This record gives sequence, C-alpha cells and structure tokens, in this order.
Amino acid sequence: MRDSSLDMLQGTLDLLVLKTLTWGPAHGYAIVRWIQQLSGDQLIVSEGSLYPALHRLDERGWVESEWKISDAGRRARFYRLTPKGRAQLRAEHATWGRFVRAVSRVLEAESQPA
Amino acid sequence: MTAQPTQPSRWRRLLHLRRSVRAGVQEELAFHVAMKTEELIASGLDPAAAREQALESFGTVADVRDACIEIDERVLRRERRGDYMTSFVQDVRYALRNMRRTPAFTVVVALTLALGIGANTAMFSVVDAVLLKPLPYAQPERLVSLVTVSRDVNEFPSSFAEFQHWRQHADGPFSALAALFRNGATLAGDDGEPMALAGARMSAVLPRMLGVQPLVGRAFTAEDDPHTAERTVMISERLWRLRYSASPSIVGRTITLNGNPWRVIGVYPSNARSTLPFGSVETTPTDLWMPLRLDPAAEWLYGLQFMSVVGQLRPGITATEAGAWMARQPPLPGLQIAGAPPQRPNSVRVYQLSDRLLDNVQRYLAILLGAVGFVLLIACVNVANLLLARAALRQRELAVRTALGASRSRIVTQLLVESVMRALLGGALGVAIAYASLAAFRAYLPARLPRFDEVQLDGRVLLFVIVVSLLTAIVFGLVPALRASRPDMVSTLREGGRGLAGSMRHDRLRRSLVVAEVALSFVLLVGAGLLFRSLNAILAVPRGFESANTLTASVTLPAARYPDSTRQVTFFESAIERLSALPGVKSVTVTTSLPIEGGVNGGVNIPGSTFGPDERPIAEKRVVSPNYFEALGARMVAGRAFQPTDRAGAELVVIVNESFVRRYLPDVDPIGRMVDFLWGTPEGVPQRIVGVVADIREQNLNEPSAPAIYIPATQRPIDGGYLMVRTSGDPISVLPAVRREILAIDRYLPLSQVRTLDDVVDGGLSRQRFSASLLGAFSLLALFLAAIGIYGLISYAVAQRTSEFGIRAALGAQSGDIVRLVLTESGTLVLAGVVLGGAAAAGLTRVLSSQLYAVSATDAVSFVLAAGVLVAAAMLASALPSWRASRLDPARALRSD
Repeated sequence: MRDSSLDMLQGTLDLLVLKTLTWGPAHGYAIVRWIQQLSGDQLIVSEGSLYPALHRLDERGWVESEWKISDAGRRARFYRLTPKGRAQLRAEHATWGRFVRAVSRVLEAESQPA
Repeated sequence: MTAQPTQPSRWRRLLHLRRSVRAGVQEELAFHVAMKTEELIASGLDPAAAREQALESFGTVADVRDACIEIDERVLRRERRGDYMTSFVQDVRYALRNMRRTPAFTVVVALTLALGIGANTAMFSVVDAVLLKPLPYAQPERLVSLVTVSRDVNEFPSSFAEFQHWRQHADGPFSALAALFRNGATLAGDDGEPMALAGARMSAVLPRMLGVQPLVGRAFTAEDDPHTAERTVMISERLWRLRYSASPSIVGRTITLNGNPWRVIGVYPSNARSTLPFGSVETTPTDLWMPLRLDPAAEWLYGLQFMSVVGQLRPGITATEAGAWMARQPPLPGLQIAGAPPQRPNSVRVYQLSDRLLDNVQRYLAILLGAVGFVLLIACVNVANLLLARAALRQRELAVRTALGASRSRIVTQLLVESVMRALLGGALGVAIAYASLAAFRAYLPARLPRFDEVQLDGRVLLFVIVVSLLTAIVFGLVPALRASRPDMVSTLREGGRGLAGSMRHDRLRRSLVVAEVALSFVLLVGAGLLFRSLNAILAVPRGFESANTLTASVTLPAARYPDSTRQVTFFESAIERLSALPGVKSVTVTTSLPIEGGVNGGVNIPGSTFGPDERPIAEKRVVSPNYFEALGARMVAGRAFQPTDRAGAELVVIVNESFVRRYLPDVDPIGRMVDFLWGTPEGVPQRIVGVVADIREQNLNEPSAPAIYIPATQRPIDGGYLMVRTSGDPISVLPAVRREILAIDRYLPLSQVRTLDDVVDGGLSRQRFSASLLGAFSLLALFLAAIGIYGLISYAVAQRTSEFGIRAALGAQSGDIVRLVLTESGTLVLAGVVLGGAAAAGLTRVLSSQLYAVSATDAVSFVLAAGVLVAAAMLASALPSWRASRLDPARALRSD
C-alpha cells in the first residue's frame, strides 16, 4: 500500500468490489482499474488483497465466476454479481452511509460533549 | 422407469476439479500480471522492469495464490460433502419410491424380516436382562456366594455353625459375610385378614451389602442380630402400601407375626435390588426381612444345612483368590456320630454371585438364542432369494441406468440403501412382534427364570434391533446387489429385459440358498423334536401318585398359639375331619413336603449295616398323615401302611420307599429293620420299618427317584405342612369352603401357596415345557419361511420354463409328467437340504444333551420326523406351482416368450 493512498478499512474492499460488479461481469484486473479511476486515483487496490477477497466473495455466494475471453483476446476469469451479492451490497451500502455520517459528525464537532 | 438424475461419476469430476483449482488460480493471477505488464510497457517501461513492477504489486505472489487455493478447496470439499448427502438422500428417496411401487413385495420382505428380527429381539431382551446386565445390587462384582461342599462333590446349603466358623476366618478377602434363609410368617392379630407372607432371616449387614436404602425408617444394625435383642422387622414397600396405606407412621409400630410382637423399623423398596440372592434361581419376592436372632441354646439348629451365605469381597480381591484363602483355613470338624466312622469335614467354594445365580440358565438361554439366530438367518436367506428373483425383473432398469453412466459402485450403494430401508422397516415391525412375544413369554415363561421381571424393551434392546437390522441388510442385500450391478447390458436391453442371460447362474445361486434354508430348518426341527420327545419321556415317568383333582395349600402354625404338640396334633386332626366332611371332598391328607418339589433330606443310620465314611445313607424325610399313601394312590409293595395304632407312646415306626431298600438294604427283608435319624427325635433312637411303598417322585421328574423315609404325623407332631384335598370335581371349586373351615378352627390362620397338584407337577416341568415350546415355535417359523422359499423358487422356475412346458404339452406330455418334473425339482432341493441339515444337526444337537432326558442327541426318531415334516412342507409348497404348470394352455404358453 502506498503512502499516498487511503488505507482501506476492513470490509470496505468487499463493498467496492460488489459495487463495481453492478455494471457487469469483470475480471480482477478490470476491477482494480475501475476502482482506481472512479476514486480519482485516491484508492489503490492491492492485488494481494483483491484476489483472496474475490475468492471469499465467491465462497459466500455473493459473486460467481466463469472463464471468458477478455477484450485483449486472452482467457480470463470473469466475476459476476449474484442476486445474493446484490442484496448484500444494498445492506452494506446503507451501513457504510451511516458509518460515514457518524464519523463526520464526530470529526466536525465544535465542542466537547457534556 | 424414473431415471434418477445420474451424474456421470460426480466423484471423478470433483477429483478433476481439485486439480484444476490450482491451475485456475495460477492462470487468473498470470493474466493479471500480464495485463499490468503490458500497461506498464505502454507507459514507457522496458519489458523486464515492467514485469518486475507488476509482480511487486502483489506482495508475495505465492502467498496470494495459496490463500486463493485454500479458499477454493474449502468450497470444493463442502460441495463434495453436500454431494454425498444429496446422493444419499436420493438413494433413500429412490428406495422408498421403489418400495411403494411394489407393495406386495415390500410387505412380504418386511414381514419375513420382522418375524426373524422380532423373535431375536424378544430373545435378546430376555438374555440381556437375565445374563448380560450386572446384578441389580450395589457393586455386584464384589458379591460372592459361599457354598458348602461335601466329599468334594455335592454342594449344599450351609449350616449356621459353618457360617460362624467362616466368619472367624474370612477377614482376609471379605469385608462382610452374611447368612440368609427363607422364613415365612403369618401376619395376623390386627383387624385385617390374616396373611401368610414370604420372608427371610438375614444377617443385619445384608441390606447394606446389597445397597438397599430404606424408603422410611432404618435398616438393621448389629444390635438387631442377637437372640436376646428386641424383635425388629423391615417390611416391603408392597406390604406397606397394601396393608398400611403407605403411612410413614408404620415405623415404630408393633405388628404380630406368628403370634409374637415385632417392631417395624423400616420399609425397603420392592424393586429388583431387594430380590434376595438365595442360592437357588427362585426369586419370589419377600415381604418381611428379619434379623437372624438364632438361639444359641438350640444346638440342633446349628448343624442343619439350610442357609445361603453371601460375601462381599474387599476391593481388588477376586472370587478365585477368596476361594483359595478359604481353602487354606482350618475346616470345621465333621459331624461325629456315636458308633459311626468320622465324617470327612466339609469344604467351601466361593462363586461370583452372578455365576452362581445364573449358572444353570446360561446354557439354556444360549441354546435358545442360537436357535432364534437360525430363524433370522433363514429369514435373511429368504429375502436374499426374493431380491435375486426381483433383480432378474429389474435388470432392464439397472441396465438403463448403467447405460446412462451410473457406475457399479453407485448401483451397489443404491441397492444396499434399499436393503437397509427394507431391513429397518422389518426391524420396526419386529419390535412390535417382540413386544407381543414378550407378553406371551410373561404368560408362559417359568417364573423360576431369575431376573425375569427386569426384562424390557429398553434402549439397549432397540440398539440391538438397529444393529441386527443393518447386519441383516448386508447379509441379505450384498449378494443380490453385487449380482444385479453387473448385468450384461447389451443383451439385457436387446432382449427387452426378459434377461435369459445369467438366469442359469441366478438359478444355481437361488437353489443353493433354498437348500441352505432347508438345512437350517432341519436342524431346528430336529432340536425341537428332541426336546418334545424328552418332555414326553419325562411325562411318561411313573410318578407313583395320582395328581388329578387335588387341591394343595400350605399352613404354618405359629409357635405362640401352638406351643405344644397336643395343640398341633389337635389342629391337624380337626382340619382333616372338617375338610373331609365337605361335599365333593374324597379324602384329605397332610405332608411336610409336596411331591416333585423336594424338601428336607439328611443322613440316616441303619444299625446292622455298615457303610464307608463317604457312603453314609442320605434320604428324603417326610412327615405325613397316616392316610397319605392311600390318599395319593401310592402302592404298598411290602409290609403295611400306617395304622391308627401308630400313636404317640407306641413304638416309633417308619415306611421307606423302594429306592431306599434297593440302595441301602439290598438282599435283606427290610420289614422289621431299624433306622435312626434326626427329626424331632434325637439321633440314636431306633425306629422300625413297617412297610415299603413304591417310589413316589419326591424330586424332579428328570432325576432318578431318591431314597425316602415317611414318618407318621401321629408320632412326630408337625407345626406346619401342606393340606392335600382330593375332590370328585374341580379342586379349585372347594377352595372357599376349605378356607372357611380353616378360619373356623383358627381365625388368624391363612392358607398360602394354594395350587392344584397338577400345577405342582407342571411347575417342575415348566422349563422343559418352555424350551420345547419355544424351540418348537422357532422351528415352525423356520419351516414356514423355508416353505415360502421353496414356493418362490418353484413358481419362478415354472414361470421361466412356461414355453418349455407348453412345447411338452403340445407334444403330448400328460399333465402328470409336468407335475412329476416340478416335484422332482423340489424333491432334489429338499433331499440336499435334509442331507446337509442332517450332518449339521448330528453335530449341533450335542449341545442339547444336558437338556435331554432318556433321549439321545442323535435320536433317530427325531431325525426321521424332522425329515418327514420337511418333505411334507416342501410338497405342499410346490403343489400350487406344479398344479398351475399342469393347467397351462399350450398355445398361450408358447406365445408367452
């Protein structure tokens, strides 16, 4: 992980991967690229954590994979969001929103609590 | 046919997947690295540096790879487990569907197995309760039985003198030693009906040794034991509820037993634990426990052999070690009789209590268990045969499944699952059959089988059923499954499933199975035949008395109200007088012991005859009313019967039986000879033999008649005995009148052990009768199953050869020829079975030898009878198929193939 990037919070990577897959099946390399681009190069996903995460999501049944030929003409493993994964994304998205608001409220507070 | 979703070797696919997991992960990561490298090259890096940077972004590639592989393999394993479960569930469903689709077949198989498993379950529950479970006492492994042995051969109950002697020398191996003996008592003197109760005297320590906890009050302490102590008694829970409405205030109350006051100190629970360990197998529950309280002054009592002795071993000591210790102790000197050579001292043997109590039922039950195992084996063979026949019909179905890619192991597994389902169904029905048979056992089993009250269908028995069912499934299911799983696929499909291919092989196997069935049933039939012939031989033994239309009942005169012989004699005289006057009563007599049941025996001196130190005459002793022989219908062979002149004050006379004369007074005229012995008269007082009576069976019918001496009650008063009332009609109908008359003489005197003399005789035979009936039932069951097996095989053979018969008929064969053909077929089977079974029976019936009376284990009659019964059953079983074959319409038969 590079100094310039934001550290991924635990579970955040799963959320991001599920989100990127809502646009359609993708292989691991594409997922890294998309996250990087969408975050304006603020989030750099380490490959060392991405692939185990993908396989874990597969194990839980949130994504499924199949081998297809990529745009570059090579065989690649494409991951696809399952209905179960979609439901999970919705739930985690909501949780994430609450988390962010809560953290912001603390950080932006102007006086010590009574 | 419902094709089961067949995954072509799903297992192999999974194996393949496992290998591909690694490859997949590697390829996936390689793709990523390649893409990244290309991207970096495009941004201007040289290829080597680009690749290095691409790899670097992974951290350690190997770690990432391994993490992914681990996750994927975990998924794979889980999937495979699920797969097995799914295929198992599928097999079960498939089996159930199959069983539903052929209800008749399913019912026949289930009933066949249920008969086998049910009979075994019932028998096992008896064996389990009687033999396998530990005795119901606390620490039963530490309890032993001490037995007196005379002349190193004969085992006797022990005397109080011996018990005291042993106790002085038993400190090494024993932590406690207790004596006990049966001692009934009459409970009367309060407002309730007088009751004759079974009771026991015992060392105070015994309840604690057995681990009996009083429900209320306390158990005995050492203070209760001496003769001088207050009379204290523990009563049973049964009596407590029956007579005292379970009131806790019974403790401390005084009740009247045999006319004396006894203080109740506690109530013991009426359960298996309070069944006292008397040496004999009889386990009538007791209602009264009393301390020994033996009078040290009653010296004559000390030498009588009438007590059971039970010891508690110190922890870690074995019965054998305790026996060796006792053998090293000084023996109690033998009895000294004036003028006779000194008797050799008795020795003592120490047995594990469980061995002692169950000794003579072990072999007996083992034989029955073995026989019932045969029945199950036959049931299995039968079912295997049915399955083989069905397998021929299912060949097409199985061939299709094989063609669709089901492996052989899948098909075998599935067929075995089906067998297990059938066996479990049979087992469930079997439990119901066992339950019903146990009820029948309870009604017919000899009450003398110890621990029978503990028999129940509990978890252990159910576990037995499951294990037996599974074993059964393998025994009957494996061969047909293996056979069926390798059908000649192509030819089966081509022939439209009628499958002539392999039918010869099937036939040979199925015939061997039927031969085995016949052989097994033959062994059982021979066994049953031997037992029945033995029972008949026992029943034919001349008993020396008439048992018909005779009521017997025991009375005991309490010493408190009958302190002297005058009152005792008066009681029996008026009882005989009053009962004889009752309408329907032909005669009334009294004896101290009933025939068949055995009783008191002991040494006898015969002045003028000398015997070696180990040959002192022993005889059964009975005190009887003068009319005893006449009333029983016994025959005098010499001298005279008792007369009214044989009264107190007259010369003491006795009558002996023929066995006595044969054994001890051969070659001399016994009439007028003198004998002396101990019974109410001191030893050394001579008594004259005035008559010889033909042997009356005083002991078990299957033992030779024993020497006996009869003493007239008019000269030797008795304080109790059995009334024998001979009637012209049903003896039980006079019982109320008998009771009324006895209560009219003494309103506190109850009758106990009321039975007919026929029942007494039967009681002595109950075990022989039981094992003969049981083995008879088992062998009939076996015969029935074997007949079904023969019937099935012949029907099948006839069906298979329908066209052949058609041709024969068309060519002019008389129907008789066809019948002859079928009968020859079944005759061959039976002959082979009988020859094999005969050989097996000749070896196996040896185990019955100890149960047989006057019949040899290779008794020809039994063998011939068994063969005859089998042949008849086989002919019957093949009659229907052969009749059907003979009525075939040639035209239709020819078209059928």
